[in-house]
Amino acid sequence: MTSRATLLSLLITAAFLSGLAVLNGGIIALALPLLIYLGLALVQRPEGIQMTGERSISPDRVAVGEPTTIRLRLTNDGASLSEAYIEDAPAAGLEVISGQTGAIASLAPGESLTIEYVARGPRGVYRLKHAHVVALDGFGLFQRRAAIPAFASLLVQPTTQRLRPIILRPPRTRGFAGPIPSRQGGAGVDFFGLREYQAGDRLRTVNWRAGARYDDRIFSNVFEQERIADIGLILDAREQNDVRTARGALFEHAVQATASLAEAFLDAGNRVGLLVYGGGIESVFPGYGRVQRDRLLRALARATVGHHFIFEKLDRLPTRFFPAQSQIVFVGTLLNDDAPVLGRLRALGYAVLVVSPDPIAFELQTASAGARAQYAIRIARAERRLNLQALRRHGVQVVDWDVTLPLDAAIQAALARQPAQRRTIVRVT
Amino acid sequence: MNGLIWTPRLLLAALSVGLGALSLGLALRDAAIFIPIFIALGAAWAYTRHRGRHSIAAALANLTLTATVIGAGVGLLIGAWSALMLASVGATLAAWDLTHFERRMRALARVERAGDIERRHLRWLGAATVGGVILAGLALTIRTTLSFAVVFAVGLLAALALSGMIGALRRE
Repeated sequence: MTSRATLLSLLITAAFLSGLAVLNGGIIALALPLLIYLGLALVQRPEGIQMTGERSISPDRVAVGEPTTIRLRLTNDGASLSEAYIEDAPAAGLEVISGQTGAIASLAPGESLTIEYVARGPRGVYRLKHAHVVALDGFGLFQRRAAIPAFASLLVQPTTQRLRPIILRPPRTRGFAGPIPSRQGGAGVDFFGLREYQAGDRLRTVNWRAGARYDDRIFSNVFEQERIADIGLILDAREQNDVRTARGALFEHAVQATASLAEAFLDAGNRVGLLVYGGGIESVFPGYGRVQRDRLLRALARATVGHHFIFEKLDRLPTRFFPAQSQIVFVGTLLNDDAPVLGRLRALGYAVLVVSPDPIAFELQTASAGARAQYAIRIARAERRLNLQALRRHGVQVVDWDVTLPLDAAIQAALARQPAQRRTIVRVT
Repeated sequence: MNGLIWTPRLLLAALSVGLGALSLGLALRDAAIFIPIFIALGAAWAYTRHRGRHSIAAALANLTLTATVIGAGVGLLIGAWSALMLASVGATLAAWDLTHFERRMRALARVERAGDIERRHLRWLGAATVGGVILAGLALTIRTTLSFAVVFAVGLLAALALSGMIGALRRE
């Protein structure tokens, strides 16, 4: 019953009582048109809403900013609805760029209505669950509401940058051929060492210069095997590490970097896992290939910054999640307490690469730096430089990334400068 | 206009008829002092609707309908012509309904088969107002003498019917 029905009821009652009070039948008769109107509305009132909904999203997986078409089809399985207001409820954050999310229709039994619109949204997983239906009688005095289930989900995955091959040298590699030098002799391209000639060695591998020094021995060249590796990506989603300005959040750049790295490592054939460390821990177990790429992008689409007092520091990192002596890639801005923890990972035998978006440069894009602020900026820069130096002293490879520049250029520049990794395990077969 | 063709025209016509009949009836009984109030309310209603302020127009429609019912009641008390008073209430009721209908149709940009919805609505509205006014007119013109027992029985029946209707609505 709507407020209009209440108003009519009050007017009818008032006319009836006034007529009785002044003993005037004419005043009571004035209520009759209103009473008939109310009665006809009662006759037409909707009995109930029985509808089924089907929703389709095409495509259901898009990059940030790309449009997608959402189609909702509702079929009336119940009695006739003389006036039905159907409104789809796009998930919070989605922006409708064309089409209508709602419609008014009169639906006979078995009749369908299709609503179609184009939307886009920021990174995330959107679950569209219901369509809202309000059925009214012909006069709009009595109404029924229902939420018709019509489930579909939309994945807006982070945009990625194409990266050139990244030079990594984890202490341990896996058994399959890949792009990463394995520190083991065998078939390969790069010279690895010498060993005494064994029957079956190909003549082209014989090192005649080395053999010339001895009368009774000849030597063969050994090349370094190239294998795939286990790579664990850690995305730092701690709230205290995020920087938000009018241009957005630095965390979004970290997510894009993680997605780009994941694609690059998977394309090279590596086994890649993901750990999102912030308000909780979300993980994707290491895996290969296209399915793993989907899993990683889905997890990255869901990733949000969060706060939990247990995970305020990095020392709760579940290191057992990553295979021993594998490559760990940490993506995030750094706090003062982080360097020792990452150094400890290095000490445990992991190879560690840190890709750190520069929060100072990011904040300076929007903030006006006055004379006093210059001191603060210098202090912040010095503090960050010290943190990064501490990491490098621990043997961690560091990419200090100004997010206004392409990630690929930052990685190539930073890793080209890194000193050659010591070969901790040299095994000549 | 969301495909509504007849509604705006009928709305203005019903509003004019409703307020005109009320004003005429009051003027004929030397109660013209109230007429500016109804004219002002009607003008404000029509103006806000014309400017697209449909929520304000709907509120003014509620106010004008209430004022018209009160005005018609006062008119009947001072001996105004009852046909004019009934026509006034019936026409204002129609204008009130059409204002809210138009507002509902504007709530969403897409209206499927607006013409069909409008025609069906106008048919029901016509039946309600014409039927109501005719019934009220009959009630005012037909004079019968009933005994107290019959009146009591009819009253009891009406009370029972009302109680049953309220109970059914509450159960829903």
